[in-house]
Amino acid sequence: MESMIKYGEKHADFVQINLDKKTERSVDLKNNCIDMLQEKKTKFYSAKVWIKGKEGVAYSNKDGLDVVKKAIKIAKMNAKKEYFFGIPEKQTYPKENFSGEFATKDQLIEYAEIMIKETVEDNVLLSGGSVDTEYTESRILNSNGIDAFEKNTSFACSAGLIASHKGKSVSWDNYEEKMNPFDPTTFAKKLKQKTLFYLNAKKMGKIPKTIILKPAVLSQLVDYSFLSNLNGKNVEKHKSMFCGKIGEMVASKEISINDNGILKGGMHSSLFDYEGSARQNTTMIKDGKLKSFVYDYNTAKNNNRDSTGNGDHRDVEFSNICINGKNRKIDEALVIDSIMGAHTGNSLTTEFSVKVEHAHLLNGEPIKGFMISGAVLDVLNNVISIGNAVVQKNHVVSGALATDKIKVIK
Amino acid sequence: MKELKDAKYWEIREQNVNSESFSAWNSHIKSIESQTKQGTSVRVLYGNGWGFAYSYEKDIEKIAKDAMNMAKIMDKKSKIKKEIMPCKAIKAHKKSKFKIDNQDIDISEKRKLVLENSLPLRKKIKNCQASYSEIHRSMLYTNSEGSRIKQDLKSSYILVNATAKSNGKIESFSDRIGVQAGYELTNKFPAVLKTATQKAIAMLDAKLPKAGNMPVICDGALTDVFIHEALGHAAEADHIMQNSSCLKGLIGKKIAPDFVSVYDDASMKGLWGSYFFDDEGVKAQKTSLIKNGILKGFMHSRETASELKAKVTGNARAQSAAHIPQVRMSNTYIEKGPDDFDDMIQNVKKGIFLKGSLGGQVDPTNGNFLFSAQEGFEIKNGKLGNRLKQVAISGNTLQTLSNISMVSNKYEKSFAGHCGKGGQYVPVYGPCPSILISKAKIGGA
Repeated sequence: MESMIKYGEKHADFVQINLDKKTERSVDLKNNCIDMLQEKKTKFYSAKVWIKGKEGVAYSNKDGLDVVKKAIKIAKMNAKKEYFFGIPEKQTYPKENFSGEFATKDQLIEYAEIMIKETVEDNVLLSGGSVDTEYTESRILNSNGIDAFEKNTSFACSAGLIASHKGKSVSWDNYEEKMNPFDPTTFAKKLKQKTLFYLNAKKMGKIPKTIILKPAVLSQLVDYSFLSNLNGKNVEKHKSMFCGKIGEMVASKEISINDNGILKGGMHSSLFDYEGSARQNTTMIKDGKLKSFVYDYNTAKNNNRDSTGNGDHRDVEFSNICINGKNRKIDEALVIDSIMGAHTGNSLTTEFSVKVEHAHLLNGEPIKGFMISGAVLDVLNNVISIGNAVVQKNHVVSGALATDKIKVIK
Repeated sequence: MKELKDAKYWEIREQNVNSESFSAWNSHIKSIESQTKQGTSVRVLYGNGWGFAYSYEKDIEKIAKDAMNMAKIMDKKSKIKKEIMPCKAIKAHKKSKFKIDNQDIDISEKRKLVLENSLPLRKKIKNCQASYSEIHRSMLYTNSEGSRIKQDLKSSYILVNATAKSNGKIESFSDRIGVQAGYELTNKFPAVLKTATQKAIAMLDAKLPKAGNMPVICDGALTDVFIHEALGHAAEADHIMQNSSCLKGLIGKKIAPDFVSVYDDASMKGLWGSYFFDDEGVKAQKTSLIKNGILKGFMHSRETASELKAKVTGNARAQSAAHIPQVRMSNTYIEKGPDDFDDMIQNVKKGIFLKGSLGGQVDPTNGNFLFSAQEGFEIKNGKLGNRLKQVAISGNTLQTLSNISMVSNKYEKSFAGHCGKGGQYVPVYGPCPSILISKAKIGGA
């Protein structure tokens, strides 16, 4: 990498080189059995150069100077960027460690066997699943003196169960992900319990006014139909409903939403972003008021502020989205456990219309056969309660959210 | 290779991928990128255990040794017999056809292309993003049966996403085309730009639909997604093997009207989902899934074909050499029918006409699905009315198939899509006609 930077500095005004090396291992499960053991080793260089405000980007997994040469060639033939303020300077990073243990093949096999043991019964089939682990090393060098390195690990269990009884059947799949390997016994038992519970789902009668979105559901709706409005690049380019709304109320006054790139145990935590800016905890919405968007280095400078540490290869990237609010007791509600089709939501207007796969009455019976629709913005402006049992699903870290602003379609 | 001599079956996939992508918004360059990726994987079946190893390093012997060791570990743990369907060895070298080689066109020309097709700010259009990308994939497949297959695939893709704003409302619309072809695709950029910008403005006046059950006409692009989600995934034989398909046990049964026939065909020339050979060295072919309403067959890999005693169909696909082949769709479509499109509209007293797709999802175990349209129109007494947005249809595969009451007599343009399954994405397509579903559940306001 040092020779890449040296070469780049001879031919360009600014240079940034990233290297990501990853080893992934997994054991696949199929039809109640262990099916396959896999291991993959990948490596990826990214070279970014700027020559008189013109940018060139190249990626490769080959060693050598070709990737930098290609980036330089592109920069020379490119047009000047709309604006360019430079690249991050050398800086200090949080004193944290977001790396855990990298599971061995034997551990993966052991945990896979536990998943089978804890889920399979006469009327419960483990149709498919896996136990996966990843170890990543990331390094960045740039021509402003940044030289940063960190390791990250992750471990995940996933399973799809099918339960059947007297001609009825139901399927349920779920996953759990942490930084360190964990015994999946509790995950597997809960999954089986849930699957068997939903075997007796009936069509809905009376619909409670309050709807509770479990963390997995909330995470999908927020991810697909809301978050992009808080991307500073999108705001700058008029691709957000929040343009010009800093300081305005955009959610219930009890709601605060942070992008926390240094959250302990966060699945998207790291020391620095792809540009070498230190990750941080950015308050985007505080007590319902819009405070900030998230930015990469240049978009931030163009908006007269510093990077929020959310730079990615080519865009702004969210880290751990923490949604906080008041917890209140709820007596009657419809609890939505899983949905289908969240990715079809409207990321600009935040409107969505999805099918509910699994739901139940609070402290009551499982229900089936309906859709829900609404707008995430309306939901966040009408939050009745946020649960204390905080869970991370994808980017979102939150308890279950209760609202009365969702329409149920039978 | 001595590392693999005791294997029941092995295959080696070596891949080189070169791609370039160009993106501009509001007449400013957003990004220009080049990507080069190479890698090799080995998949081994030893006894009854599968092992898979991939590396960016060129040491094939080491990768093979790792895969073999993992297969041996799995064999000791295996509780069921594993076989794959043997096939004749094939030696072939196939290349995508194109008129203009993208690699002959200068970077500055491509830069100019996206700049010209991403409009500056104007009246109601607040953002207009144009993207062009080209991918050149060179893959060498060898296996223990003696096959040696080289494929050089070239694909091109253009997309425009426009955002319109007026009177406090904001909406966006995308149009895109992807094909296995060369730079000649870019001739279609102006038409794609026009569609995206005109529709983004039109969507500002669109209303949310009234929820409920009603007749629905789906245009070709939405029918493509319907048949992909509602039928296609359930017809992937790995779902049958894993008891997670609502079509299990229904071969030979009538599941749709007589005038409905559905195929998957990776051999269709130049389409987004096409290829010459799948990732197990099986030739791409046309597979009949439904013929005149009867369920005829499933899509197979070698393993599912062996297990279910069926013919291989060339549907084992992997996102890249770093991924294991899975049973996947390619170009999946309903055969055009007998009906005139105008007659279909006139047939509906109160319903919806839906166009374009925002994607969909299915649980193939029970056949429950949801897919969403880019835009819709009310139909009242056989005439198109108000424009609609955010229209989602949900239903059940078998019920909805039997509710297809008309199929139009023309194939329509669909969207170049990517299908996600098991953490992998592969390009898929489906040139379908419009269909009338006599009753479907619409989600809305």
